[in-house]
Amino acid sequence: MVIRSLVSVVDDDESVRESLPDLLREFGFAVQAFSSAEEFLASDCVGQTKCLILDIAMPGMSGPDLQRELTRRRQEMPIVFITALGDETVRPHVLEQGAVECLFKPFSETALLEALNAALRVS
Amino acid sequence: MSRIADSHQDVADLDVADLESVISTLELSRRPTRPPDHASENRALVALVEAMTASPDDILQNLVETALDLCRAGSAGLSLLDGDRKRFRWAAVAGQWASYLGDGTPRDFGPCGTVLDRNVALLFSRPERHFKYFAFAKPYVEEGLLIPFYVGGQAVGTIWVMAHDPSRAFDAEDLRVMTNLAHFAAAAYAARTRQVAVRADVSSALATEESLHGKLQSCTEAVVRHLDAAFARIWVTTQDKRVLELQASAGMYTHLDGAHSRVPVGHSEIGLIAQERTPHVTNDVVNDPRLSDPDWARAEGMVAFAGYPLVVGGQAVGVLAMFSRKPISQATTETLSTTADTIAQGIQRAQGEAALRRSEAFLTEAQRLSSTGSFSWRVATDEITWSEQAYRIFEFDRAVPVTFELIGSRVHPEDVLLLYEMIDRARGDGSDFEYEHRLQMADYSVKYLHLVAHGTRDQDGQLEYIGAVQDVTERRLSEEALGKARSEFAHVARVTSLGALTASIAHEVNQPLSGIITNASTCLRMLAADPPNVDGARETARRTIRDGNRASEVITRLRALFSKKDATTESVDLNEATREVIALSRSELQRSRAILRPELGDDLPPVTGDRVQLQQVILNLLLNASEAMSGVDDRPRQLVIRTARDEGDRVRLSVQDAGVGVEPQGVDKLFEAFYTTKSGGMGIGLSVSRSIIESHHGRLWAAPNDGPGATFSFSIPRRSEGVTGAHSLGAIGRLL
Repeated sequence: MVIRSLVSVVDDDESVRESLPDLLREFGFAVQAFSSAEEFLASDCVGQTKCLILDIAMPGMSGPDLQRELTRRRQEMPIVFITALGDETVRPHVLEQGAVECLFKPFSETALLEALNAALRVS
Repeated sequence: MSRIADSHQDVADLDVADLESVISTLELSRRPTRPPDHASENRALVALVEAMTASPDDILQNLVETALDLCRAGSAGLSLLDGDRKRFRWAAVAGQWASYLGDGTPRDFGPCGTVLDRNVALLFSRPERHFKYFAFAKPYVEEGLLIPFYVGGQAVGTIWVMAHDPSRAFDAEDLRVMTNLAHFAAAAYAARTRQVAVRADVSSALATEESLHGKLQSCTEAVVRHLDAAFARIWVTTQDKRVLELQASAGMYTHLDGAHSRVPVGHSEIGLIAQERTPHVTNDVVNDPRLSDPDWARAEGMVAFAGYPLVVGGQAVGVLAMFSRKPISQATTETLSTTADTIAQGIQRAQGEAALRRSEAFLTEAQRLSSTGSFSWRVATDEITWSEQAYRIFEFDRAVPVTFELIGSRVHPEDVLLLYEMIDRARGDGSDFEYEHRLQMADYSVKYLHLVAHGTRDQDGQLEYIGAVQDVTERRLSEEALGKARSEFAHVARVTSLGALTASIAHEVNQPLSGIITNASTCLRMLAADPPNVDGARETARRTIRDGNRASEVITRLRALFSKKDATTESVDLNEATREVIALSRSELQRSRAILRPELGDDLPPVTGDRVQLQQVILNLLLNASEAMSGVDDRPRQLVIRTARDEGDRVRLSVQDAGVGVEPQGVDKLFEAFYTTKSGGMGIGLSVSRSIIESHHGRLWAAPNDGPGATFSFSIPRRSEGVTGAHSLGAIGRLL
C-alpha cells in the first residue's frame, strides 16, 4: 500500500471543498478539507499535512493569518495559496512570507500539479 | 416807411421848407372846438378795455382804430421807438395808411422825432414841405396830430392821427381825446410789454436753465422784474402730492428755508390753492381771511396777493404766488394765469426728463454691474444698435458703427460657424433665440458670452430683435473648472467602483468557475482511469451543473447592483424627458462645441416606462455623440436629436452625430460590455443602455450616416405590461 501524502485544503467555499479533494485524490494524494483555518488548527491533521492548500480571504482567520500562526507554532508546512481576488499585490506578498505558490481561481490542473510538486520538493 | 424815409436823398433838389413852418400846433387852440362827445368816447374806451382783455395782443391795433374813430381821421397809428433808439417803427396803423404797417421814420429826422425832442404834442401841416419823404406817401398828408406817450417816465413813442384832405382840420377836442388815448396807450403798452417780457423770460428760463430749481428761480425773478411784485415764490408738490416744497423765491425774500418751506396741501393759503386748484387774487390782502399773518402784511405795506395753482393733466404740481405793494391789474392776472400754465408744463417736463435720466442711469449702471449689454437688430437693413456696455464687452469705441463684420472680427474663430448659423436661422425664424459663444479679443484673451434675443415685428411687419448679451467668462471658467473636477472625480469614482466591481465580479464568479474547472479535470481523470470511475465522474458533472447555476445567480445579483433602484413604471413624455436631459447637458455640449438641433416630433404619444432609466439612456447617447465629434474641426459639430412615432405603435428616439462614425460590421461590438473605443472609457454605457431599452421591450441599435458620423436609435412600444425586472441577462450575460 502506497502511503499517500496528506494534502489539507482550507477554504470557506463549498464548491472548492467538494471539487478540489477529488482532483487531488486523482493525483494520488490523501486529502482532508476544512471550512475554516480554526477548524484546521483544531484538527489533528496539522502535523501530518505535507502540503496546505489555503484560501486567502476567509471569514475569521484569513489565510495569511493562518500562515503566521503556523510559523508561530513552529508547525510550518509548504503552503499553496489559492484566491479568487484579482489583486496583484497579493501574490508577491505571500511569496515573501514563505508561500510556495499563489494560484488565482480558476486555475488549471497543470498549474495545481506544478505547485504541488514544488511544495513537496521543498519539504 | 424805409421806402419813404430813405428816399429823401432823391428829393434834395426840391425846396426844403423850414421845420417851424410846418408846425402849426397853435392852430389847435385858435380853431373852433367841436363839442366833446363823452358818450361816444366812453363807449369807445369801454370797447377798448374789453378788447384788451379779450385779445391783449391786439391792444395797439385796437387803440389806433379807436383814435381813428374818435377823431374822425383819415389814418391813425402808433409809432414805437426801436430798441437802439434810432428809428420809429409803426407798430399799429389804421385807416388809409394801413398798408404802411411796419414801416417807420428815422429818430433824428421826422415828426415823431421832433415830438419826442420837444416832449409836447404837435400838429403838422403838409409835413412834406420839410420832411420830403412824405411826398411819396399816399394818400398825401394834409395834417398830422402827434401825441407822445410815456412808459415808466420814459418817452417810447407817439400816437398820431392824420387828415388826408383839407376838409378835416383837427381841433382842441381832438387833442384832448388823443391825450387821453395816449395815457391809455402808455398803460396798455406797458402791460403788453410786461406780458411779453414775462412770457419771454419764463420760456427762456424753462428752456435754458439746467436744474428745475434754476428754472423756477429765473421764473420768479421774471415775475418780480416785470410785474412789480414785492416778492414771488414757486412751490412744487412732492411725489405723493401731499406736501408743497418751496423751490424758488425772488424779490424781498430769497431764502428757501423758513416758515413756508414745506406747506401741507390743504393747509394755509398756498396749500388751499393747490388743493382746490383755483387761483386766489386779492387787492385787499390785509383784510383777507385766508392770509396767515395780517400784521406782517400791514407792516410791510402789502396791498395785493395773487396765487395760482400749477396744474397739469388735472393734477396740481405746485403753486405760483406773489405779493405786491401795488394793486394787481387785470392784465397782470392774465399774465400770471398764462405764466402759471407755462411753468406747470415746464415742471412736468423737467420731472419727466429727470425720471427718464434716472432710469437711463439706473439701466446703464445695472448693465455695467452685471456686465450685460443690450442690442437691437433690424433684420431687413442689418442695422445694429448697441448699448454702452455692449461696446465695452466687445471692446470697441462707442463711435464705431456696428456691423456683422465688426462683430465677426471679435468672435472666436472656432465659434464663427456657430454664429453665422444662428444668424441665418434668426433671419428666417423670427422666434426668440438664446446662445453662448466665445469672443477672441485683440490680445487673444477669450471671453464667454451668453446671448438672448426676442423677436418682434413693428407695424410694417418688419422683424426686429431686441436682446441682451452678458459676459459670463468668470462663471464659465469656474463652471469649466468645476466640470473638469467633477468629471475627474467621476472618473476616479468609476474606476474605483469598477475596481471594486471587478473585484466583486471576479470573486463572485471565479469561485464557481474554479469549481467547474476543477470538477471537469477530475471528471476526465476519473473517466480515464482503468476501470473508469463513472460514479465519480457523474458526481463531478452534477457539481459542474450546480456551479454553473451558481454563477448564473451571481450574474443576476450583479445586474441588480447596476441599477440603484427598482424600475418604476409610469407614463413618460419622451419629448419632455429629452428636453430635461438637453437642459442638464447643455453646458457639457457647449463645452464640446456641439451644435444641438432638437427635432422633437409634435403629437408624440407618451410611452410607459421608467423615466429616469430612459433619461439615462438619452444622456448616454448624447454624451457619446458629443465625444464622437471631439476631434472634428472641418465641419459643424452638428448633433441632431429626433423623436417620432414608429410603426407598430412604437416611439423612436435617435441621436445623430457628425463624428468619426462606425463600421457597419463593428456595430454589434459596440454594445458589448466593457467594449470601448475611448481611452480611459469604461464601455459600460451602451451595454447598460441596451439592457434598459430591452427591459422596456424595445431595441437599441446604431447605424452609420450617409454623411459623416453615426446615428444611435432606440424604439420602444407605447404600452407595455411593465418594465421587466432584473431577470433578463442582457449584455452582461455575454461576460461568460
